[in-house]
Amino acid sequence: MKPFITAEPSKTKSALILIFWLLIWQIVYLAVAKDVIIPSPANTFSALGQLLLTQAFYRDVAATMSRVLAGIVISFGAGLLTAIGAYLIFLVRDIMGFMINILKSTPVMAVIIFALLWLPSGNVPIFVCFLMCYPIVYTNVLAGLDSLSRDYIEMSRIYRIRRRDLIESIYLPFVAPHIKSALSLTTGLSWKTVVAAEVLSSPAFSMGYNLLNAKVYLDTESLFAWIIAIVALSMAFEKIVNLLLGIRRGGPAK
Amino acid sequence: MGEPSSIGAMKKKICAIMLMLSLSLSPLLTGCTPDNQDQLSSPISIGALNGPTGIGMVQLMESPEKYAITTYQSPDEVVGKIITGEVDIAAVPSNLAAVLYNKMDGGVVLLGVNTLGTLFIVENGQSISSPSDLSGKTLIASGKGGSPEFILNQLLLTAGLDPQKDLTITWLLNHSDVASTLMAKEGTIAMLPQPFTTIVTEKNPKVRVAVDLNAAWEKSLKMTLPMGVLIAQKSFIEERPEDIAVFLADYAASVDFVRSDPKSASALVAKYGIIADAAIAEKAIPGCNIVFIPAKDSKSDLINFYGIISAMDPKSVGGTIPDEAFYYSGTE
Amino acid sequence: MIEVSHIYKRFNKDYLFEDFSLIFKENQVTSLIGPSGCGKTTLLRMMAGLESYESGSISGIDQSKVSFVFQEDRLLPWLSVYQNIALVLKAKCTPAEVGEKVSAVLALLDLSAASDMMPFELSGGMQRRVAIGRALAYDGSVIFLDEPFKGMDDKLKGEVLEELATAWNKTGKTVILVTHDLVDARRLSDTIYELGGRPLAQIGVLD
Repeated sequence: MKPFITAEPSKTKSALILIFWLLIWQIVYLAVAKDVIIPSPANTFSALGQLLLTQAFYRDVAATMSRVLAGIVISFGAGLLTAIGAYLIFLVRDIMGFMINILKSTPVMAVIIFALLWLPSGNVPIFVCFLMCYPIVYTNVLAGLDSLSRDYIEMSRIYRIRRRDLIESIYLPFVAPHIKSALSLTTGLSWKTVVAAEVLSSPAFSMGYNLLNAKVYLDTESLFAWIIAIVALSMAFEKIVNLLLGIRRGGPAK
Repeated sequence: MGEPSSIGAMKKKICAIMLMLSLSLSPLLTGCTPDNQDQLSSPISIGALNGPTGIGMVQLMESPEKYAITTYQSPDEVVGKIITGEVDIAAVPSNLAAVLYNKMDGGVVLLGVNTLGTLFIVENGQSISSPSDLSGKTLIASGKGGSPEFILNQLLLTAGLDPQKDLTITWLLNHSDVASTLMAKEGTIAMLPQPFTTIVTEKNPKVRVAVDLNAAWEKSLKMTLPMGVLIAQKSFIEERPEDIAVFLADYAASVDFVRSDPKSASALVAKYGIIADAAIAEKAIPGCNIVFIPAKDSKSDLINFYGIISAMDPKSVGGTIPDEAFYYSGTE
Repeated sequence: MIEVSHIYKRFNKDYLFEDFSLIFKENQVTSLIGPSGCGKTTLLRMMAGLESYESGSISGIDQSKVSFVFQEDRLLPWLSVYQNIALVLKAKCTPAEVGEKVSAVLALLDLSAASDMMPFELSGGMQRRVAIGRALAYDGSVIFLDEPFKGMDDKLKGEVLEELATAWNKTGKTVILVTHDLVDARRLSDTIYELGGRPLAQIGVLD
């Protein structure tokens, strides 16, 4: 009995699936019949097309993307460093454990108003992204480190393996998958949190600001157009990151 | 002051009709009482904001069996309720009424203007005394997309400033957030309407009113500033014309009451939680510029206003300035 | 001479080792046999410096230069056979030397063909041989082996025993191993200590 393998659909299949969902959209649009709630696919794509012709679009996309990158770098960097510190030093682990619990239970969006008191509105989304992504990186990397069997460490002690080799040949290959999954998770989450935070803190150049504007003027075609742009960019970004991670993988690491 | 004559005439007409109806239904009724003309066929749901528009309705809140009134923090919430049909009547910024008219294919009707200009630049500090002083500064405000945004832009342009380039405007989600930021952080400059202006200056003596935007507007454009209006679902107008008339009468009475007796009104304002402190409410009410100017009488000012702001940005009115059908003309 | 003197060690409340002493001759193969769970492995680990004891002393062993073959092999699954053995040589040999030593040891244990294979591709017996090869290549002053023939079938055991006997005769290392099979012990060892009881005590000596 052949095992059922779920492979990625072929290119034509993906195109057909896309067309299917566009048809569903068109049907819903006709059924709801209120442009102001659901715009037609045609109008939305024409609005999107017009957006792509404006300079402002690229300016805003660049601004949001730079915030996403900043958020990822800061969250990942801090998460990695503190996780390593926690692994090596008990005190760090105890202190950070407390912090992480607090961060995980904080209603992040409610913090935005206070963030706006101390940070310029352009940095608030980065801060919010950090609040959400840092705990994930920290928890994942630390769990990865902790799961390295003590047996291997003992073996390395007996054979006097140098710290350099210990890290290169034992820790790195073992923890790499955990680090990669943390990075992958962070990438997806960063997009969502940055854009959502942009809607609430409305820095002048941002994709979120455009979402807010479209909503407020009841310009639902633009709203949907921007959402499509955001989703498309987020997916492309994640794909690129996953590709890079895949390429970085040296040997058949688990 | 006093009810516009058209409503008075309508009232007489309605009483006459009710009288006839009640006579024909006399086995069921005890006869025509003066209160008959105030009955509704069924309750009306109303959405207002937690500012002057809510305050203006405060007397209506005393009749919950007739009026189900909910106050919201920001105009988008009210706008949403109109679109879904959850409210029959709503108080919205004047430009958003036009946006709704366009986006809903004429599905709303403007009943009248209920707020004239009540915008101020307020500062936790001493550096601003006229719009041109805002150059290079950061201003916080709320109500993006509503009349305040365009009023501000217009006045900045008049003062020679480009709203995009010469200063930073940060839009928060509602007036309360702006008020709390203003009170908490020194050096904050904000744009706020009444009653928030009075609330913050009473609570934090360091906060002062820097610029009266309505005075500036009237001075440079020589017209009154119709900031907020009352709209109704078109379907409601068509199906329940008598109820609209009753509502308009009651509403006009409520506005009169608030204007002429702020002290008693402020007690109700506190009771219904619009402003927690009745004493502050009493001080704020006069500055709120609460009125009721029926559609017929406010039409020309509104058309002017729409012309000015749509020239800055057609999106501000939803693309085109509304036509005649937008304005409520009463039941014939 | 390696001296284990007056070792005391508790396990929970009971004494696992109570005034335990034993002597090992150098440059020969000594086996420890006895029922499983009696503490033979613990003794081995204490001598290798992997576990502590409450009082007593162990002398004659430079614990910074010992090899250990674990019961579970403990090969790194993401490194090849070659890389697993090379890893323990990196700290003290030049890359050229590493290559030589690994090849030599692989040849000795008949593993040359498997040099680039991954542990999961090998049978249990071959994995064990790699672990032994690693211990040999490291060239510790003492080689400890914890149940090195556990789970091997007789044929395989025969082959490995031959190779090991040759290897040790050639090098003259001090080898201390734990096993529960007397026959295996007899084939390899110069001295066999029989251990048992709680606390652990030497019951007999053979050879």
